[in-house]
Amino acid sequence: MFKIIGADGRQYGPVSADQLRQWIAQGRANAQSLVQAEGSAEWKPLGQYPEFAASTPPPLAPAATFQGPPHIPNYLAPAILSTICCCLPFGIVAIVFAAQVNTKLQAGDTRGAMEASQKARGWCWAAFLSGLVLTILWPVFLMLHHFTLHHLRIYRSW
Amino acid sequence: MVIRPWRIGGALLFGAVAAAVFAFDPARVNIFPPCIFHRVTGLWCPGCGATRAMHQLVHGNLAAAFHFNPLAISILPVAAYLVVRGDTSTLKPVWIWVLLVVIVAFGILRNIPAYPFTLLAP
Repeated sequence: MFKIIGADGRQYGPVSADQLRQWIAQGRANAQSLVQAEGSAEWKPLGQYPEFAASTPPPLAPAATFQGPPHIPNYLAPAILSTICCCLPFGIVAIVFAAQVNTKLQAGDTRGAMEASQKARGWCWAAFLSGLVLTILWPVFLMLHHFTLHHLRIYRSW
Repeated sequence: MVIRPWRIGGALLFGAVAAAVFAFDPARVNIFPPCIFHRVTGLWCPGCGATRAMHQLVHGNLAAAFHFNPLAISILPVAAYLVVRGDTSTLKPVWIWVLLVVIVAFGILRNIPAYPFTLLAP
């Protein structure tokens, strides 16, 4: 019979070796789980018990265990919006890099995907900022235009 | 969602642009910035007419909205889906390439000066 400390820090058991094997199979216990054999005062990692060595999977790097594929944003939504709203070819370039992010992620090229992600981000900003600058400058241009015409009209009337 | 200054700024900017698009008809009032691509080349870009289309859309004229820019109107549900989905990096790459081809093809087709492609021009 064995007592075990779960991932929640609580103590479970005593349970039989078979029950413990079942927990290992279900992923509830792994080689790092602390286990105390009946009649012993010592808590040892499960991986150090020869009787469970066959059933515990090889210890993985702790950080890699429960992480899915790396999250690399592709900025697709801003790329589309800046293409349609800002009316500039920069948005098209951003969509190309967004597509590259996913293509490279699927091929397992994480590094390439990250580079494409950076470029997609850069082109989104370029498209957005040029649209913004244009939006701000356009009324200024209109005003200058208006005043110039007005001035010219007065000038001509002389 | 965390409240950050740039998000507030972005929301205010979006609100201001949306209010302007609702209040002024870009087909009649030229307070909206022109498309630089169109100004320089004289060609229609894939986004040309999008502001006029949005003005018609927020006034409930779907047909008129489609007339000015069918792509911008059709892409709205797609964009909404992407925003709701959040993580777009798990999309199948082929869909993004398809989207790209559609946008570029639309930009080319609407410049062909013959029926029925003239329907795509604003």
